[in-house]
Amino acid sequence: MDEKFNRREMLKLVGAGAVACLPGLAVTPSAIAEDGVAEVRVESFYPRGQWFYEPAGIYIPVGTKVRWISNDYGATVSSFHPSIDNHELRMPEKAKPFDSGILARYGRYRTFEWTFEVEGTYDYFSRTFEPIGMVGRIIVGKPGGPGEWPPGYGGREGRAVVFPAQAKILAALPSGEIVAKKTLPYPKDLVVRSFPFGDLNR
Amino acid sequence: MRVRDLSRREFLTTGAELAALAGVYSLMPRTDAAAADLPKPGGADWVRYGFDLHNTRFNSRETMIGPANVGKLKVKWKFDMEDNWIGYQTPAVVGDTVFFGSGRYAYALESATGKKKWSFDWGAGGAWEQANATAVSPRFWGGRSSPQYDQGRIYFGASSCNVYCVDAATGRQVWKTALLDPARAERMGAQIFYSPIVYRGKVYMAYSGGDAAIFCLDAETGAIRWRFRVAQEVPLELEAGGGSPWTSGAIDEQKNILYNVTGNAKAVMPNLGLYTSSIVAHDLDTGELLWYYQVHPQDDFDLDFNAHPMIFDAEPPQRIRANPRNSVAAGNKAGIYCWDRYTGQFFWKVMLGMICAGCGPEFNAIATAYNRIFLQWASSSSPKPFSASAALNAYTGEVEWMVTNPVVNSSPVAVANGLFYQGFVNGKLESLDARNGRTLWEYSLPSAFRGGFAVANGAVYASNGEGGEWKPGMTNKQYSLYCFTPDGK
Repeated sequence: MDEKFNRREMLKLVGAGAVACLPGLAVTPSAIAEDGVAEVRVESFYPRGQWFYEPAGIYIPVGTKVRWISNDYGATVSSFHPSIDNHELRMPEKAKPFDSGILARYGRYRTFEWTFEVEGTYDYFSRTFEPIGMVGRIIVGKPGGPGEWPPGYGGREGRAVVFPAQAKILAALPSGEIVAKKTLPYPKDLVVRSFPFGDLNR
Repeated sequence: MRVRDLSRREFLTTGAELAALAGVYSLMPRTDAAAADLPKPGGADWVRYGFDLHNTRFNSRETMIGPANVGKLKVKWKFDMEDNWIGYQTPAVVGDTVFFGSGRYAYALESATGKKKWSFDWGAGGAWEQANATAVSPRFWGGRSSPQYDQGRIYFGASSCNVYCVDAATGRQVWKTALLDPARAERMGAQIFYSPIVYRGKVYMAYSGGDAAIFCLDAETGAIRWRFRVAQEVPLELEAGGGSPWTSGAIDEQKNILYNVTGNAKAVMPNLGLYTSSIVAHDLDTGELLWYYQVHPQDDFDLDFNAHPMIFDAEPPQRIRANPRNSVAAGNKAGIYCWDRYTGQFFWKVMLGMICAGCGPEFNAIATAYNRIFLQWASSSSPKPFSASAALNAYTGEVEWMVTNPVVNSSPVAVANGLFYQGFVNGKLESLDARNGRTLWEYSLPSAFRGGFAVANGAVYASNGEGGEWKPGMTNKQYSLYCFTPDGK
C-alpha cells in the first residue's frame, strides 16, 4: 500500500496498537466460533500436574451452545448442582444441570455440548480433578444467581466441600471481567503442584 | 444307556470309572493338535515377552552368538507384515517356529526361513472395528500384547480387550475371553498392552485404559478366576481411576507371588489414588494383595511405571558382608526402583536423566543378568533429547558402566551370552559388550524399533514400527520382522 497517512490517522493507528499490546487491555476474542458455538478445550499439562479448561471463563449470549473438546482422557464437565455429587448450587435455580461423563481424547466421547437457555452465572467442574482446581465459569447474558455467591456457602446446607484450589481459581475469574473481555484464560500459575522430585531420597 | 436304567452300584461304578478317565485325560498331552505339527523345542528358546517367568529378558541358554561373532550379524530373512502394520511385539521363539503378531494378525513362521506356517485373524467378525472404536490413537490399534508359548498353545491379548488362546500347530482358536464388554472398553479407551504370563494352568493378564484391572484366567478354558481393579479409591462409576499395567507381570514360583506395576492416576481425588503408580504383589491363586509400594500418590504428572518387574537374587559387593537380597526391580518415568520381593522393603532407586512423561526406561528397556540391571534411560525432555544406557549393580544400584546415545529409546532390550541388545526410535539396533558397554554391532531398521528383541537358538529377532503418531498409509515404509544370524546363515 502506498497511500500516505495524514498525521491524525497515523497517531490513531499507533495509539490503537499500543493499547492492544498492553497486558490486560488486549482485545480478547469472543469464545464463539463461526458456527455460533462457543468452544472450550479440556486440557492437561503433565509437567505441572495440571488439568484445566481453556478458556476458563467465557461470556455467551442466552441460547448459545458451548462445545467442550477434550485433549486427554479423564475429565468431566459437570454443573455445581446438588444432583451432582451433592455440590452446592452455583448456577441459576431454573436452569438444568449437566454432566458430560468422562471425556476421552479420541472417538465419540471426545466432545460434550450444552445449550444455555437461562441467564446467569454458571460454575462447573471436573468430577475427577476437583482437588487440583479444575473449574470453569460461564456468564450467560448477565451475571447473577447462586454462581455469584461465595464458594463454600453450601457448607451450612450440608453440601460437598469446595476445595481451596477451586475457590482460588474462581476468585481469579470475576464475572465482570469475563463480560468485559468475553474470555479469560485459565490462571495457570495460581495452582501449581510441586513436581515429585522429592521421592529421590526417601 | 440311560442313567435311570442303572442300578445304584452300576451307577457308582460307572461314575468312578468316568471320573478316573477324566483324571487320566487331564494328565495326557493335549490332542487338539497332532504332536508332529507342534514346534520342536530348541536348546535356547525365548518363549515369552520377558523371556522367563522372572521377566529377566536374559537368555542364559544362548551360546551361539557372543562378543566374538556378534559383529558378523546379518539379515537372514525378513517377514513383511501382511497388512503392513507397525511392529510392536516381542516374538516367542520355540525351536523351529517363531510366533509373532502385528495389527490384526498373529503369525507362526518357520524360524529357519521366515516362511509363514499360519496366521490367525483375531480381528475377523467385527472385532477389528470394535477394537478401533476405542478412544485411543491409531498407532495403538492392533496387537501390542506379545505372545507366550505354553504346552502347544499360544496366548496373547488384543486391542479389543479380548484374550486369545490359539493352537500353536494349526492357528485355530481354542478359546477367547473378553476382559471388558465392548461398550465399556470404548468409553474407557481400554486396550490390552500387557503381555500374558502363563504359569501352572493360569494366564495372568491386564487391560489398560480409563480404569484398569489385572486378571487371572484359567489356561484351559479362559474362565476368569480372579480380578484386581487397580484404582480402588476412585468410584467405579467414573471409569477413570487409571493405574494401567502397561507391561507384563513377573512370577516368584517359590512363594507363589505375582508382581505387577501400574500407571498413573486418571483422577486426582482427595485420597492417595491407591494402587496407581505402584508395584503390587498378589497371591497367584487367590489374588490376595500381599504388599504394595506406591511411588507417586495422586500422580497427575504421568509418571507411569513403563518397565516391567524383574525378579532376581542380588549378591552383595565384596565390601558388604550380607546375604543375597531377594529382589524385585521395575522402572517408571522417574526411576529404577528395587525392593525386597517378599516384604516390599525399599532398597534403592536410580535415575539417569530427565523425569518426564516420555522419560525413563521407555518402554520396558530393562533386563537383569550377571548380578546387574541393564537399562536404557530416555531423556526426552532435555533441551537436546538423548538417552543413556547403563549397567547397575543389582544389590546397590550403583552405576557400573554408562554410555550416552544421541537419540532416545522406546523399546525392550535383551541380554544373552555376554551381550546387551538395544534399539532406538530412529531404527538403529546395537549390541554392546555387557561387561563395559562397548558397541560391537549396529544395524539400521527403516523406522523406529518398538517391539523388543528376542535372542534365541543363535538368532536375533527384531521388528520395526513407529515412534510417534501413526496411521495406516501415513508412510511408505515397509514394516517387517527381521531375523539376524552370523553372516546371515
